[in-house]
Amino acid sequence: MLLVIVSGLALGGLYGMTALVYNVMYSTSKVLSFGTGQFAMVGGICTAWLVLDLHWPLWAGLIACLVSGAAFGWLSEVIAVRRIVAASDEHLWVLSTLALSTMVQEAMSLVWGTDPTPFPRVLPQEFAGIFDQKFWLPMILAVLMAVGLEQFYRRSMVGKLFIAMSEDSFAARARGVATDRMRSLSYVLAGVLGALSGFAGGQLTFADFALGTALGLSGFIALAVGGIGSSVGALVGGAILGMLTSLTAHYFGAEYQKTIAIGLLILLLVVRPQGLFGTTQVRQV
Amino acid sequence: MTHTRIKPVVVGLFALLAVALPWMTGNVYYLHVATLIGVYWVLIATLNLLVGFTGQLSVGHVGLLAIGAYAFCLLAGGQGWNPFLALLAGGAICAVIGLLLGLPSLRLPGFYFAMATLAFGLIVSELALAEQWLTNGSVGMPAPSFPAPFDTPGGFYWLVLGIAGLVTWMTANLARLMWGRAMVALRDSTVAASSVAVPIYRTKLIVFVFSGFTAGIAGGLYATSQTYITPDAFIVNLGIYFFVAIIIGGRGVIIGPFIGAAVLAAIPELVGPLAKYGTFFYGLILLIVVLVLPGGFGELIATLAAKLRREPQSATSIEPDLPSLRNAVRGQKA
Amino acid sequence: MTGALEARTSDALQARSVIRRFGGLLAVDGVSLEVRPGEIHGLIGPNGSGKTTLLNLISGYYTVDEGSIVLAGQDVTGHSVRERALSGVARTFQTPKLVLSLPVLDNAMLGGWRTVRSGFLETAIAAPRPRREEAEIRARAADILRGVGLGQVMDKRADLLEHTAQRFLEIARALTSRPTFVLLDEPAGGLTGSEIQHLGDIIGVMRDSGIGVLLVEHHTDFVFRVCDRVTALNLGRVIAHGSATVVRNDPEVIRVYLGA
Repeated sequence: MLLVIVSGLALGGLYGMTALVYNVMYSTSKVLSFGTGQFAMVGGICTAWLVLDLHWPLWAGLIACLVSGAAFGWLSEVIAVRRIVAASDEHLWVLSTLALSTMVQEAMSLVWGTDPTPFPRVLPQEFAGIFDQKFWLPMILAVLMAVGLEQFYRRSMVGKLFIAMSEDSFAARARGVATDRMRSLSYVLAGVLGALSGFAGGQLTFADFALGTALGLSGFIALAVGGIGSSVGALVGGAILGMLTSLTAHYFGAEYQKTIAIGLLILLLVVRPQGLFGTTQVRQV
Repeated sequence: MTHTRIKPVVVGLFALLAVALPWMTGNVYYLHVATLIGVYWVLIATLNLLVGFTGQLSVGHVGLLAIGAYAFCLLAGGQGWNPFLALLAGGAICAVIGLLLGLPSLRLPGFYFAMATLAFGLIVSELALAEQWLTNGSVGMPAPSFPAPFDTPGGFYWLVLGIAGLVTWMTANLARLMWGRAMVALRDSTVAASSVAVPIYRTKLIVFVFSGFTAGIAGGLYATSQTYITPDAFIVNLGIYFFVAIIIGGRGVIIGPFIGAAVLAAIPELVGPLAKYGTFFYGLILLIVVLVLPGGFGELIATLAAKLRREPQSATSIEPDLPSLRNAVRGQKA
Repeated sequence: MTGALEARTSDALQARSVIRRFGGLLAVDGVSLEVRPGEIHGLIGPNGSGKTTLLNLISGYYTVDEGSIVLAGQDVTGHSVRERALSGVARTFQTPKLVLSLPVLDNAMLGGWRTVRSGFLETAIAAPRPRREEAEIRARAADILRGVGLGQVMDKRADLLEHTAQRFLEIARALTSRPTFVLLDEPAGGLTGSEIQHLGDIIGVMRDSGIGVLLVEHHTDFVFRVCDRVTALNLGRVIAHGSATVVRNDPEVIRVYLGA
């Protein structure tokens, strides 16, 4: 039973981190990218390939993983978001990010193959069980990421600019904020964080090309449950979803995970559309 | 709705060619592809109402296709129902499921709705594999065929053609009468729509349920055309493909999505060894169309047609005609 | 005489002691206003006086915090935008809200939606009733478009129209809905002198046909020229109301406008 709880929280950490990544991109662009989950997938596969196949040292693999995340973050802003944000039809970004996400996923499946492959150990550890790092890495990292982001928003100039843009991007631009560059930066940051979450969660999820869509969906549910724009919400939402998934898998079998998850989402959005910690203005998505 | 008013002559010619196809080619394979286009067209025609007209980005319609297919196979095959009845029943089941899915999710903003439908598609494919007692899991099940004269490739083609024609006719009617304008208003400007009293939520729901019904019917036809269905056939990517077909063809145009359906059905069959790159290329095409041609090819055609008609670009000076305005306004006061 | 006046008042569209706050700010503070059928009622005030807020409250885009909105004796305070539109209250917007991908005629025809009784399935099979409704609305919209002066551009896409034409199109759409009241939100914005003249004529035709017009405007000359009665707001409160002449000469109104 303890194992069920621990694995649920670990999953929750992963989902929470994905929700945080959504938040970072949303703050500067008001876009919820379909490709959010793909950062983790790319980061995870990149690391697995470099470390296991090419025998790079782990720290090098981590750096490469983060770089790959940054690159894809930057690319997704340039390709899928920048031109759309300027266009009059707001909902095109749903399609453009969906398209890019599909392309990335398919490209990975063609290059890497469709079998999930194991992920290297990050810290030397011989034993498994509830203290297995595959559970604790995502959990700890999720909390660190949330705390780090909050400090970033409150203390750093760039972070404060992100917040300003999320509240009123027109006003921000009028005050001289280089909104394009800020947006690009936020996507790069999102990519790095996403890849990092893939690195942390890799031992739990394996390096799998299909991870992106599943994680994007779960991360979104965590985001919606917690409320867009809230780091605490992201963690809480992730934890709730993670626990629910783990308990469902334990009692009803793994096939019903998605059904329960989407049921939770629909229920919550009907009852409290802004999520647990979100503000009501969220509905103007 | 002026977008592209197709001359009846063109429609007639096309219909004639379509009907004559089985006699023009003896090749069963081409007939099969044409049948598949028809089947996809049944689904895409009404999905186009949902996506192209009311602007609801439903990514998971493949789930309804799957449910329709399995329902048809179970009822007509296992339970021995009359295939036509089973087809209608499949449609009805999907209409109800569409209602249940749409009721909560159509209240949500665009991205949430898209996610919800995506999740629905994933759930259906997950359950199709898991619920072995119902679906035989990954083994799949055979699809029954229709009674004569629809049990031959040519005969079945005509059945699909007939249904596709009927659905097309219905969507064309909806598009050109007042409901069509209401739907477009809903897509382009909810403020305008509510200011003229269009019931926004109710309209979205009706369209969603209608598209669910035809998706269910398309599912049954799809099953028969493939003769055997497995969960593999209904992966989420197919849902994205339908979507792409509509976007490529162009929003709000009847013929555009047909082009999309034709491309969708024909390419995998004709491209063979490159088929595994299919999804990648669909993503690429979608991306390019969204970035360059948001209105899709249908809009491109309409714009070209407008340029060709060479409308005089004179600045309009507005000269009201007060007496006729008086009459026109007064005419209402019955 | 009194009986007729009472009859007209009971048909009126009224805001009764309406209050609306935004955060701590009192945008509309106890305003009462009445638009009668067959009159043009102007609503003026400097920026921030609450006139657009009041318009939004009457048409249903904002909810009132206190007070009520009454239409022909029926309390519609809780009614949605759509319900009020169904009851015959049409409005135009400061920035025209058109369906840009549709042609002018179709935009105007949208106004006729209120009178459509045909259902979805009925329309799908092209039954006689939807076809008849479509034809009727098309004819009506076309007549009105010609009436306001847009007869030449009926097939042009709405996003290709110039600003003035878009404004007149919105008015045509409102008229196609057979309204009992039309609320105009700064319709003269961006119009030239002769266009404002046309606008005034059109509004006059509306009044003569028995429609009650609420004209929210910045161009005070235009308002005083065209309107029967005027209400002047400042800082969310009514500072003057009555006939156009009376309000124009009101010392408080003069002070606010000359001072501003």
